[in-house]
This record gives sequence, C-alpha cells and structure tokens, in this order.
Amino acid sequence: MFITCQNITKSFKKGDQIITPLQALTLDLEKGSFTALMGPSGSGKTTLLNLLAGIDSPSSGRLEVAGTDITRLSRSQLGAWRAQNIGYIFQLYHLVPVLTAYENVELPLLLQPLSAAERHKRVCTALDLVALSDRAEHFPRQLSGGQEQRVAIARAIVADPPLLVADEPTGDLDAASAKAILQLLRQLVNDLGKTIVMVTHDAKAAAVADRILHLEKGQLVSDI
Amino acid sequence: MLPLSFSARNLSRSWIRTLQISGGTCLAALLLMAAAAFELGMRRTLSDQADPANVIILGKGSEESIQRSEIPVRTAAILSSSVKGLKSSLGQIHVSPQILYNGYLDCAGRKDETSIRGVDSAAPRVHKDFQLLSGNWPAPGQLMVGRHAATQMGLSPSALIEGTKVVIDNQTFTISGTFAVPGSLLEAEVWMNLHELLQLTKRDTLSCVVATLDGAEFGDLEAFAASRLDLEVAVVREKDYYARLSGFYAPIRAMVWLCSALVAFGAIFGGFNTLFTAFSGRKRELAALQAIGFPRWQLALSLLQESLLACLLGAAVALFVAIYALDGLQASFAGGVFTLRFGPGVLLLGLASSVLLAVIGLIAPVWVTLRPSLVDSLR
Ligand SMILES: Nc1ncnc2c1ncn2[C@@H]1O[C@H](COP(=O)(O)OP(=O)(O)OP(=O)(O)O)[C@@H](O)[C@H]1O
Ligand SMILES: [Mg+2]
Repeated sequence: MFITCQNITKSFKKGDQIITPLQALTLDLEKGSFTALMGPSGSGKTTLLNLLAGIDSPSSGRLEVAGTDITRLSRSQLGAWRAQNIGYIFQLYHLVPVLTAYENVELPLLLQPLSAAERHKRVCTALDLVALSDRAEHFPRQLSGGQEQRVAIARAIVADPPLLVADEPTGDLDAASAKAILQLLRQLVNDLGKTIVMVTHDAKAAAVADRILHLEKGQLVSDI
Repeated sequence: MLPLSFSARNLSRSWIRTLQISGGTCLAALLLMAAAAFELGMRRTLSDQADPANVIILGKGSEESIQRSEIPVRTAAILSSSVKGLKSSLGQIHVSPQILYNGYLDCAGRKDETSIRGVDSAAPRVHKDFQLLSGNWPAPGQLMVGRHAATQMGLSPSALIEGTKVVIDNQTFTISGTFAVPGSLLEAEVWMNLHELLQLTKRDTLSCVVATLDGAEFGDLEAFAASRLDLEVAVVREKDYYARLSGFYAPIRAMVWLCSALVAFGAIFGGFNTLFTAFSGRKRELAALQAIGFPRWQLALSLLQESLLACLLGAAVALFVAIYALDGLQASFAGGVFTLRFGPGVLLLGLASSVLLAVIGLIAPVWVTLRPSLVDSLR
C-alpha cells in the first residue's frame, strides 16, 4: 500500500485545553489514486493532509508513506523527505513574489544535486505540462489566479515526487479556472501515475477524484 | 541553496523599508565612527604633541597648569648653565622660556578669548615640529598666529591673515605670519615675543621653561629643582603634563560618546523595527519554502544575506561620508582645536558595527518566523 494510516490521532494543546482534530483514524491509499477529502470546516481535513505530507507528525498511531515510516523522522529529516516525496499545492498558491514563474518552479530543484542544464530541462518540462511556457519570465503579480495555481502545480511536480497533496486548490478560483486545474490534476494521475490527495468543499471538484472521503469531527464517516 | 540574487531581489520588495534599514545602519555607523574619530583626534592632539625628551619646569604647586604657574625669569639662564646634558644644536641650547596668558584678542571689533604664548627664538627648537607656514617671525609690535587659532576663536581662517591689525589689552599688534605644529594644541595659539608679553601683562615672571634632554636624565632635573630652593620650581615630563590635561577633557569625551550613543540607539531601534516588520511579514512564504523542503538554516542564511546586504549598503554610504566629508573636520572645545581622524581602525569599527547590527537585527525576526512549528506558520 502506498499510504497506510493506522489508528492515527493528532491532538494540539491550546493553553490547558486539548484539541483532537483527528481521532484514531485508519486509512489506506493506493499508488496512482486520486482521493478527495471532504467535510465541514474544522473536521480535520488540513490536519490529515499535513500528516500525509510530513508537514506534521501524528501524536500516536502508525503512518507509512511511500515506504517510509515518517513518524520516526525528525523535523530536518522530514524536510529532506518532503523534498523527495511530496508536492504541496496551497489554496493561496504561496509563490515567491520576487521570483519569476520560471524561478518559482526551479525552487525545489535547488535542493537537489542537479546541473543548471538539467534544472533548466526539468523546469521547461514542468511549465510545458501546465501550459505556461510563454509566461516563464512573468512575476506572480502579472499572472491571473488560475495561472498562479498552475505555476504552483508545476513547482509541486518539478522534482517528480510520487505524492501530491492539495488543500482546496480551486477554493480561490472562478469556475473556468477551477475546471482547468482539476483537469490538470486528473491528467497528472492518468499520465504520470501520481498519487493525489485533495481537500475540497466543492462536490463538483470532488467528482474528478476516484475516491471521496468524508471526515467529521476527526473521523471517517463515509468512503465512496 | 537559495541564490544570493534572491536576497538581493528581496531588498527591492519595499525600497522604503530597505532605505530605513540601510539608513539606520548608516547613521549608527557614522555616529560611532565620528565619536571614535573625535576620541582619536583628541588623544593624538593631547599626547602626540608631547616630546618624550621634553621636560617642563613650572612653579612648585602649579604642576597641573602652565597658565597658573609663575617662576623667576632667571630660571632659564640658571638651568642652561647648571645642568649638563641638555640638548643643543648649532651652539644653541634647547631651553625655551615661555609665558602662557589667556587674553582677549580684538579683531575688527570682535573680542575673543585666546591663548597667547610669549616665546623667544628657542621655542622652535623645543617644539621641533614647528613650521612657519607664511610670513615672518614676529618683530616688535607683531605677533604670529597658529593655523587653528582663528577656528578656536570662532573666526574664519581668513580673518587672521598677515598684515591684519589686532588689539590685545589696548595695544595694537600686526600679524606677521602663520605657523603650524602639526597635530598639536599649540596650533590654536597666538605667539609673540616673550619680552613684549612680559611688558604687556606687567609681569616679572615666566609661566614655564621647556627644555629638551639629551644626555641628562629626568632625575638630574629633579635634583636641580630640589637644590635651587630659591627658584621654587618643579619638573614634569611634557608627556605626563599633557596626559593629565587629557583628563580635563574626559567629560567632553564622555558627552560626545553619550550623545552619539543616544542618537545611534534611536537609529538602530528604527532599523531593527523595520527589519522585523519586513521579515515577519514573510512568515507564510518562509513556511511554504520549508514545506517544499528548504531547511531552516538555509532560510536563515538567506535572511542573513539580505540583512547584511542592506546594512553593508548603509555602511558603504557611512564610510564614504566619513572619508570624503568628515575626515579632517575640526571641532573646537575648551581652548583646544581637535581634528576628526578617520583612521583605518575607525573605519573598520564602522564596518564591523554594521555587520554586527545585521546579525543582531536578525535574531527577533528569525525567532518569530522560523522557530514555530510548520503547521502553525502555514495557518
Ligand atoms: N496547529 C494547531 N493548533 C491548534 N489547533 C489546531 C491546529 N491545527 C488545527 N487545529 C484545530 O483542529 C481542528 C481541525 O482543523 P483543520 O484545519 O484540520 O480543519 P479543516 O477540516 O481543514 O477545516 P477548514 O475546512 O476550515 O480548512 C480545528 O478545530 C482547528 O482549530
Ligand atoms: Mg483546512
């Protein structure tokens, strides 16, 4: 199994109060699958996504992603692991404003021992894939929201990680741009064999996924 | 690794902020350097002018002030004949009788207090850096001015040129020339003939005798002072005399440091505050870079490069201003004229302080942006 969650619980201390956004959750995801995570606000979707992406570690339980037990990794080991295995797509893109689209996409490659020529080749391939080769020299503020998100997707895939996680990637976009982004994600699964976990509030967006999970109060309530 | 150009480009996010950070560093470095340059200039003026071979013979009990000292006029002749081993050149012995008098000099209707020294032709021998810059040694009815005398009196240097008539105690004198004794307090004085100053001030005593030792030891002079009880004199090394005088300027130096420190503190605080706002505003962006896989030390290094660039920009301007606008500038305090000297040590101090500011200013924003857990920073 590509992702194995067994009995994972996540709790935060807030003052003397303990919040448990995820409660003994068990879940398996296959390689090359496209999963949508749905549920009301505060149900723990982002928390689960962050655990799968190695942004955070569970309080208890077993979590294996791409053959690694990531609960054993330290903060800096997790960073190195993310650079190899994870492409994170944010709702608000989080592009670096002083870098061009090209340079933003190149960022993850700066963490790898690659020649400039090799980096150039990969950045061009990624920008091609999101159909933004002609915008390579544009800065984020010169792009539309949909284009910014496509740059962010190019940045997420440029280092060729097996798992992409996306937190409401279309939440800030108009219907047409959202549709293009969803098609792009679908294509990444179909053509490149990526595994995608996507949080969404939108049933239409969830429809492009192979599997839809519903979370409520930190627990899985339905699995379609 | 994030490239250096990334840090450089970050400076362009807000030129106003960058200007505030660079400007704060510039001002702080400049003030620090100016205070150090003043200190250095003052120390040089007070200690470098002293010749280690020179001794000053003063009135007993007035060892700390040439102005207050009174010794018999015959002291110089007695000293020359009774102490062996004083320096002499071309048959002239290096013994200079002097009067130091604080008087008012009236120049074109303006009256300013100044130090007037009565000397004879032996003075240039004991003050061996003495140079006559222009004109002549004063004849009767004349006097010569040190090149900083005008500055010390608050006049423009052109006010005291050759041929100008000035009045001291109702007697008119003509300026015969200008002299220099590089780096010395003497340059802020007015010099005239010893005998004329004796008459003018109606005194029958000298202030001091300055002598240069050659074979003789300081002990020989002390023995001389002890044996000639009739003269009532004491002997001090010129070096010791001026070292004690610099103690008199200590409160002024302290004031200069304090004022610079206060203003510099304001500039530094403003710069730090701007740096903090600029960097902590990028918390999410830095979190996103961490999510991509950049380790925190690399991000901190990138921020360090950025703050170093901004601070060095300020330091460059400060060094430029120091070298081209402030070096050699003169400040006049309590009877002395001191030159700001921006030596390599002072410039290095300015550079080092701005590097230090770049590092210290980073502590708070790095703490706030990179220390919290990644989930918290991303939220
Ligand atoms: N770092 C944290 N510290 C404290 N509480 C947290 C933290 N992260 C999440 N929580 C809490 O955990 C619960 C679940 O949060 P989570 O962000 O996972 O919800 P979500 O399903 O993504 O909601 P939304 O749809 O609004 O994004 C919330 O009550 C939230 O306040
Ligand atoms: Mg969320």
